[in-house]
Formats: sequence, structure tokens, C-alpha cells
Amino acid sequence: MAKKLMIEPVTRIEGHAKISFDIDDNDDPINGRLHVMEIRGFEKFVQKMELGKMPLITARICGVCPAAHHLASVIAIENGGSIFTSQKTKMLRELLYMGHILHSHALSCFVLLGPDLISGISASPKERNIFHILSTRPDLAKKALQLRSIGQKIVEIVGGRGIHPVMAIPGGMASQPTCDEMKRIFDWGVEAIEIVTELRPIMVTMLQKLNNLRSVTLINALPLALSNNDTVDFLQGKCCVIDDKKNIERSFSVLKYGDHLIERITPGSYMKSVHLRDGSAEKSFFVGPLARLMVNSSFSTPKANKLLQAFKKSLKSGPVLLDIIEARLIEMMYCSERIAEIASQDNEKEEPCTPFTPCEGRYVGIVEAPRGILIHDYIADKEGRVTRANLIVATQNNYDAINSALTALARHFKPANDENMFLNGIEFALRCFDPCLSCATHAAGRIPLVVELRKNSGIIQRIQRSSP
Amino acid sequence: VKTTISTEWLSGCSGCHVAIVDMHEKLLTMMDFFEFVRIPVLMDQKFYPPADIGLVEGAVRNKHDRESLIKMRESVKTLVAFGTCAVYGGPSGIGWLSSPEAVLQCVYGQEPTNVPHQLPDTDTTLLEQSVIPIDEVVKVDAYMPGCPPHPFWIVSALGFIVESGNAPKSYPAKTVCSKCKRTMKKMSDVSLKKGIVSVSDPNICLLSQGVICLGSVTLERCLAQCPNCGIACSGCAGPSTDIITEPHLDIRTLLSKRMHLLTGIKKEEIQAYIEQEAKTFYAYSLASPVIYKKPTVKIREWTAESIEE
Repeated sequence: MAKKLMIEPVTRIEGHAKISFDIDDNDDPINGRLHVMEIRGFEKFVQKMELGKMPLITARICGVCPAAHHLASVIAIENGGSIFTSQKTKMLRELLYMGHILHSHALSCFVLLGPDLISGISASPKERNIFHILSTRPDLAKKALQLRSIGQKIVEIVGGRGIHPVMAIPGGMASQPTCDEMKRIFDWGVEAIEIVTELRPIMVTMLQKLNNLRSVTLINALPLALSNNDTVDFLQGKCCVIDDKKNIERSFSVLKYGDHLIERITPGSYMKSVHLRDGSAEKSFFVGPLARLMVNSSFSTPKANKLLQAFKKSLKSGPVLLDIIEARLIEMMYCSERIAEIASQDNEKEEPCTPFTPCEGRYVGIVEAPRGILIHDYIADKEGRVTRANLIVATQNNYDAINSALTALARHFKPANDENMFLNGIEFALRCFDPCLSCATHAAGRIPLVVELRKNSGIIQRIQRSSP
Repeated sequence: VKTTISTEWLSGCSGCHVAIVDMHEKLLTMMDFFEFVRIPVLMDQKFYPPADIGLVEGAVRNKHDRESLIKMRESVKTLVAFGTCAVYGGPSGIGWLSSPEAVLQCVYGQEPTNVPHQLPDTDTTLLEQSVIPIDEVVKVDAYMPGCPPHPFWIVSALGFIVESGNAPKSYPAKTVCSKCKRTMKKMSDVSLKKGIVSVSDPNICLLSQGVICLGSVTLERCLAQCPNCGIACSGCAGPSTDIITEPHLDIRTLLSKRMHLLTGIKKEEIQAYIEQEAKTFYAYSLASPVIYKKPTVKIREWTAESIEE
């Protein structure tokens, strides 16, 4: 008998996907696989466009993390053109970016994944969404939404628009917030610190209810993150990988990423997986909040750093799925603290930068997107037009780790038992990574969740939610 | 009784859905009047329950998009093309210029990180031959362009749909300039600034300063945020109503005429530059017959270089 299990559509993640498993001779799921069914092809779209337009058009790759693409793009141009940016520019971009990470993490923690924690993995679909939580836990839900709003409103002010920001140009920022706006942002920063201080322990307590999943959800891959002198930094630093003994496995500048990373197609999916090159072999790695916290030893802000040190002590064995959520909560504290810090600095007016004239060359940039490293790489001809673009996004980097987590939770919850619980468990595994499939295929996504069980390459069962 | 809303997400970036959440405090007020029965990004609802209003984000890129769109049409009373991808193809619509094979070749076949000679397997061959706006597949009752529509306009439009019922009324349709605080000013000694998206003078129109800003030929669904902060409008909410309704009016002709009057730069020079960079200046609407069927618009010809395989 040939068996295959498939879930479609996956809701509450950012993209279009289905999931499949092979079934072994003991009727246990193996080889869990996320299938991404969408492709837009921005590498093709940007060919022959002017380099200077890249920060505007590539932001449109993703509605959830446009600021990451916007800044990766402008940083790529500045790296390639050896363009100087002032301290003020760096500060404004970081402010914009901290707002962005806060929005994205709050969306993931409270709106997308939160319902699994608050209503429970076994709850019915009707109860597992933000609207239900607004009616049952309005206190919690309103504060969580407020936290996301703070982040997004900062992006709107400093980035010019809330979704698809536009303000960063090669060499600077097109305009600056007023002193009044800076004051408002400072107040939001202080408010965000208060909200995170209150909500984080509540979420951690909820996470502890899932402690039985810890032993089955070990992440078997090496963490890769940007490191700025061993401190977490979202916009500058070197790529750093650590091994399971916490030694540096490798460290490289983004220009060398092609020597270290390799992209492969995976069966039945538009999303490519990325591996570390290791001689003729390859190694699995993962990126994102947990990787950033494992690779680096400190945060530059006091409250987040204190949480980080305590978190590191609690990481006794290897990293597990649930740690990603806790890492995200700690990063929200860092973003909130940085927002208040930056907004309290002097807001001197700066002269606009001279427009940049692009020329022939290679332009490579990297940022830590909310979900992990994001690389933009363009080659431009002598007229300053893009002839080739390569984009590597966070979710691709996590493909291996996602598939392992799907298999682990499928084996734990078993398809033959409670079907609702099984489907929820698998979706939960996926949502821990907060996958962003808009980005991953530079595409978009519907979010299918059909689980397909396969045996001997044939589909034996499709599980999907029954009609309401 | 609350008005029910169902949403779907086709080939797009999810930004229009994030814009719903970006109503911020107003989202909570909206919940007194509206009930979301389906939002794939936020809820575990994988089917298509009946609803009063259906918001569809994204263009039609593959057969899944087509099937989901038809199911949405069947399940809702008023179907809204939500965002520029649904209305005109949007950024997803840039794929209209290339064959699916060319897109795949580019994404999977390039240096420096791709394994050579790989392509997705046959399980994924769901791409349609081209990318199309949703009204090429189903009847659309209302259009809400914007990339994404600013939350201000989402609140406004939903309220308008409920109030107007079956009797269509007029709805604001001014250009981006209507919300831009800059002044159009006749200038001399201005040259055409190619490849540049920003200006230094905070008070004068970008066109007057020699930068091509599409604000005067673009529908305002954004509060003119880009030009107000010094960035040229890239036309992301699609063309203004005069261009939509009049076949002989076009983005490049209207724009070059206006810019010529403001700066003295030759109309031909401006027009030639826009045609040469059509892939950028028409990026958001090139997949729509509203644009490519205009008698003088030759998008495929202008961008020919970009579709060479």
C-alpha cells in the first residue's frame, strides 16, 4: 500500500503552500516536506531596470517584510558603489528597522502563532485566530495589536510609508522625521518596553505548557546570523556560523556568500533550499531570531541583554522549536529599547546627500530580516541597469529546519490519532519559523494546507479540514 | 446585523492584507460593523463561506489562483479587486512580459548560488501562460487599487460599499497631486535626471526639479506619501481616471507634456526616456488591457530587450 499525507492550505503563515509526508513500514510519517506552490520571479522582473529603482521595486516582493528588502537593496547599492552614509542616516535606518522588526515579530507572536498558544493547539479552528482572542482575552490582544501598531507607525513616519517604505536612497534618507515626530516615537518606544515587559512572561508561561514537545523538536542544523563584534546587529556585521560546541564554524563577509551557500530545488516545490558548502559535501543551517541569539553573545541594550543571558543559561541541550518563539519575544524587547534610545538622541537636520550615479559593477547587500539573513545581489551594466539579480531570503535558509520540524511533530501527533490535533500540530511547527513565502519564492502566496501521505511514491491519503 | 467580509490572496505580496491590520485602532471599531468570515492570513478557514463583500488580493498567475478566484466569486455578493495586483496585475504583472519558462530559467539557472541546470519538477507545473488581472477571469463589482491601498482608503471604501448598496454613487478619484503639498513651478535650466527617484527641494514639484514623478497620472490611494517625503511617485495605484477612460490618453504623453511645460525639457526626450524605461514606469499596470491595448502603447516593443531569452 502506497501512502502519502498532504496538508493544504496552510493558514496563518505568509504564503501559499502544502505539506506532504511519506509513510514508512510502521505507518509513521517521514520526510516531511513543505511545498511552495507560487512563483513570481522578481529576479526576472528587475532585469534591465535601473539600479537606483531597486530599493523601491524590491520592497514590493513582500508585504510583511518590505523594509528588509528596501534596506537590503539600498545597502547593496551603497556597498557596490562605495557610497558613504552618515551616522544620522544609519541611525534613522535602524530606527525604521527596529519598528519593522517589532511589527513583524508582534504579528508572528500574537496574531499568527499566538492563537495556538493562547487557545491551545487542540482548540477548534474557530478559536484559533486573533478575532476570537480579541473577544476572550481583549486585554492581551489589544496590547499585542498596539505593540504591532507602534512598530508599523514608526515605519510609516521614518520610512515614508507603512507598507513598502521608500525613504532610503543610496547615500542617505530622502527626508527626516520632525522633532515632534521623534518625541512621539520616543513615547512609543517607552510604551513598547512596558508592553513587552508585561506580555513576554505571559507568553513564556504559555510556552511552558508545551514543554512535552521540547524533546521531539530539536533543531538539527547550525545557526547562521550576522554578528557585529559578537553583538546582535540587524543591519551590519559578518555572517557567522557556530558549531554544536559553540565554536565559530565559519565567518564570512556577504561579498563571499557565493563561496559558502548553495541553492537547490526541492521536489514538488518552487522554493529552493539553501545549504552551507562544505568541500564537496553540504551542511544544514538555520537562520532567524534563535540563530541571532545563539551566534552572538550580547545585545547592546540592558533589558534585552539581561533576558538573553538568562535565556542562554536555560538553553541546556541543543536548540528546540519553542526556543524560536522565546527568542522573538526577547528581540522585541531589544527593538523597543533601541527605539527609545535612538529617538532620544539629538535630531539635527542633515543636508541631503548628492544623488548617486550608478555604474558597471556588482552590488551585494545583506540584512537580518525578521526571519533571518536576506541577501540582495545585483550586477549592473555600464548604463547602470541590472543585468542579473540574485535574491536569497530567510525562509529559504530555513527550509531544511522547517522540514525536520514538520516530520518531528507529525510523528509526535500521528495522523491516525486526532486528525484536528495532527493538522494543528504540523501547522504549529511551520508557524514557529514564521515562514514568509511571499519572500521565499519572491512570489506570493495562498496558504494551502493539505497533508498528503505517500508510500512508494503513490498518494494513499489526503487529509484536509472537513467542511465547516 | 454585521456585514460579512471574506478575503483571498492570489499572486501578490500579502501587503494588502497587512494593510487591513494597519487600520490599527480603527480595526477594532470596524469589528462592530463588519465580521471577517475568512482571512487566510489570520484565520484557519480554508473554505469559502458566503459573505457580503469579497476582497481579492493578487493577480492570476497559476491554476490555483484561477480556481480560488472562481470560488470567491461564487461565494460573495460584492467582489472587490483589492490592490493593484488584482486590478491591473501590479508588480506580479511584470511577469506578463516573459514566458513562464523564461522566468523559471532566470530564477533557477543563475549564478552564483544555484546548482547548475536545475528546474522545479513537474509537480509544480501549475503556471499559466501569462499573468492577468482578476477581471479577465470573473466579473468584478468594485476596484480598490493601491500598493497597498492606504488603510484610510480601505476604511472609506468598505463604508462606501455598505452605504451605497446597489445604487452606485461617485467615489473620489483624484490624482496623487491632489494630496501632495509641493508646488508646481515653472523652472529653467533643468535637465532630465535619469535613474534618480529623489529631490532635495522639499517644497517644489518633482517634475519641476527634473525628476519623473508619476503623481499627476496616478490615482491617489496613498495620501501622496512618496512625493511628500521627497520620493518620486512610481505609479503604484495605477493610472488616473482620464487615462483609464480615454484610449488616446497615456501615461507617457500626458507626463512628458506637463513636464515640458514646467521645465522646458523637450517632450520627445522625456517620452523617449519613459519608453526606454517602460518596465519601471509601467511596472504596476502593464499587464492590464487598459494599458497595453492603447493604440500608441507598445509595452512589449519598448521592453523588448528585457524579454530576450
